[in-house]
Amino acid sequence: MLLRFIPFTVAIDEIQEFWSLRPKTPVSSEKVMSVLNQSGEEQVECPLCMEPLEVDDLNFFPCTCGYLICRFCWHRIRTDENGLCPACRKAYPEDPADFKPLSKEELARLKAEKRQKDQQRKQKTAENRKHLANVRVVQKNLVFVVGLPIRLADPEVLKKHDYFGKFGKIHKVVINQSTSYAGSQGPSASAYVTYQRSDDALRAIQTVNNVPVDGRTVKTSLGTTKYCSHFMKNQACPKSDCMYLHELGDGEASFTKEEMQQGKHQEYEKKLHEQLTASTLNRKPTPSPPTVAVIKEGWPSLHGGSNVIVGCAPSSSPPEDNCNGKADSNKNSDKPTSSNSKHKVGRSGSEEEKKIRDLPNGYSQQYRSSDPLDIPTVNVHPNHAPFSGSEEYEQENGYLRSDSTPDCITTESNEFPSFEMDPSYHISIPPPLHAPPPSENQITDRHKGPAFVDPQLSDNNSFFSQHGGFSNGPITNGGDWHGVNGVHHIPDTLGAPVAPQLPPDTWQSAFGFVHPPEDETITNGVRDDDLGFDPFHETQKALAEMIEKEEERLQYNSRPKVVNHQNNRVNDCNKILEGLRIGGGAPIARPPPPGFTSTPNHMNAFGLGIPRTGSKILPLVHPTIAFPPPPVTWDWPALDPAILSVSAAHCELPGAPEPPPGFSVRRTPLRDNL
Amino acid sequence: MAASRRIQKELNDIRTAGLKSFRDVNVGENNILYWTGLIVPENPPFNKGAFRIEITFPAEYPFKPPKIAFKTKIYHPNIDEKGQVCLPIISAENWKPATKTDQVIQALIQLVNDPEPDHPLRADLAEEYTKDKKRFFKNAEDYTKKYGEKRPAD
Repeated sequence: MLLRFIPFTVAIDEIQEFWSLRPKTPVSSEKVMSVLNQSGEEQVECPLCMEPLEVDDLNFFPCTCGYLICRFCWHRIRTDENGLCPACRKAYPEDPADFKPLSKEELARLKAEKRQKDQQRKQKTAENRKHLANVRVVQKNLVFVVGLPIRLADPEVLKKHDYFGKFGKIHKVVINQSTSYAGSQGPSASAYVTYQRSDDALRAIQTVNNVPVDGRTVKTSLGTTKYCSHFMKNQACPKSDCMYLHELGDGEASFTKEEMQQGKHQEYEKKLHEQLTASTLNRKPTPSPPTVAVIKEGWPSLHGGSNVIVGCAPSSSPPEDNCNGKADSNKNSDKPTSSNSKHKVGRSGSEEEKKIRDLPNGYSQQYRSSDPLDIPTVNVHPNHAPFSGSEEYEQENGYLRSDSTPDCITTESNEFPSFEMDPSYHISIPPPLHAPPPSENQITDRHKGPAFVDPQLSDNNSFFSQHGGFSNGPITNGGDWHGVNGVHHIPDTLGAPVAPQLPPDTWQSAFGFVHPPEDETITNGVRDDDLGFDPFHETQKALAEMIEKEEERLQYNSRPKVVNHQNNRVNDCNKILEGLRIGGGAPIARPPPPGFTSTPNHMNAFGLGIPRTGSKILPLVHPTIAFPPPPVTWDWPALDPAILSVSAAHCELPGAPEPPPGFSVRRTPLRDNL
Repeated sequence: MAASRRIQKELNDIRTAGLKSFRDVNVGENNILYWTGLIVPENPPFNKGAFRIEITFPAEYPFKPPKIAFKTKIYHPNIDEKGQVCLPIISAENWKPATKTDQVIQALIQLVNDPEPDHPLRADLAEEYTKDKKRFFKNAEDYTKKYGEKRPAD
């Protein structure tokens, strides 16, 4: 529906007919040609030098044996060589045995004939190519985008890594300002994005298709190209960067109007997507998440709770598993550390954003959602998706938690997934391989209509719905949270897609870009106009929960070591809270409890716990949950290695600009405890 | 260059022809005037092996004949120890510019299969060939097995 093409008048049969005809060359009727022309070409060549014979050479038989050669060779043989006929070795007579020079009239006539023939030949090819005017060839590296808001209708903007640049190197972007493709979505632009690699184009399509931006749904598909008019006339194209076709395209990718109306080009495109998926799978066999399965499900997030966090399971996780997390956390830690503690949350969020963008693969929530391993992350993110910075915020929390003491960890086995998040970000970064799930539904239904909500979209929706529920609902306390926790919860949220109303941010979230403005939103309490909700509000709630948890935790926190070490953290947290309050004037009633420090601890717990439960809500809620750790319940020894490594790695992360004094000390005690 | 134009054509023709007894036609890098190929004789005693030859075209080709030399040792009256061949069709006196390389190769294969003791390069072998064919065959076969190249499978 989105793609409209110039009507085609010629059926493909005719084109094929043309093809079959084309190779045939006219058979020459001239005697000489039939004798001498071995290669079946029209041109007659001198048998010695293989140069084409001049018109007046055709009657030149210098020897009585009738062997025809060009007069250059004849001259050479007579002057430089032995003067014998090259065929019969008779001496050439002084005068050619059989040569009647053409009269001027004859010469002129022959030349005219030749010229005419050439012309006819050219014309014929041109005529044959006329049929191609009605053929469009699907370009594997060309993405056709419709529904772009005008503000994005700029090649330079679309080339940015925030948009189509993230999928691979872009060769060219052409914007079509005409609104004719927009349909019911109001004024919007379409664009042709030409990638240098076809895989990148397919991935872009899979990721961006049906993503809502500025209230419109962006649709993507492989674009088609027509033949250059100069090519049709068999002329050289004067435009050096002409994007039209100048050579015959792949027959499989060529479609007439009729075929396109039947959707054959879509079938072709679908095939390409499937191939890409297949190849992706082949490339990364075991360790990679079963992308395909997920894709087919269309609801990757559902899987997450139930299965897969392979190496992460607290009980089984060996130190190596954590290594990834560690490294990632370290990476992350750099940026947060540099930032000031004051508006920690907001700041960290923005920085995170940058970091994500910087990552070549910086993957979108969608991507994560598709990946079973990442599921926990996805679950977490949905809540935050609404606010651009929220994700970062979560991560920040996670980092803080990493500092957490063993007790915290024990309590929060559920949180483990959050820990997983980091790896997913950085490790999974080679997104091309992980290619976003080209859900079958998406592909097939893409053209059905704007109303269609594809899995990706629904994912986004799920984020939203979940988020909405989150904001509207009462703040879950630890106990509630456990109840809520679990996979079951997810389907509900997913079930209610809010796609059409999705705020513009969704695209970014889908892409994995986080909106930079968030920090501002959070810190200043300024409402982001684009968002359907108040991110600040959400953050506040989360913080409030955390505070509550902290309070509770104080009670639980019996171990002095932990407390001491975490004092610094507490301070940081307080600062954050203050910043939030100031900015939003949010009603956070309770002063940050001393146990607030625990937030950092949650990181560990987060990571460990999530895999088991697989709850979506974890990231925000975690703080609360983490505090009451019943050591007895959890299998500590199993958890330990992971915890240690994680905590060590994350200690620096928490975004605390100055490493807390107790920091170094704390590590050792932890290990001892463990 | 007239020579390269014609040689390129002849090379294409020979490669498309796909002769069974002349294979592996290779052209020297950056020098189309130098070919190598594998002669695969069908007649005993030379059918126990294959023989690498090189063909060198003069810059004046086709007005001057190509030269052929054996790179593989062969026990043959018309081919000497240095690999030189006595092939009338490419002798300077007999050369006809109209002759195509594939004709030359056919003549060479013919000569290998059926030695001509009347115009020998190695008189001793020619004598043995005429006077004690059994012994010649035995020697030639041993020689072929010893020095000959492996014959292509098909």
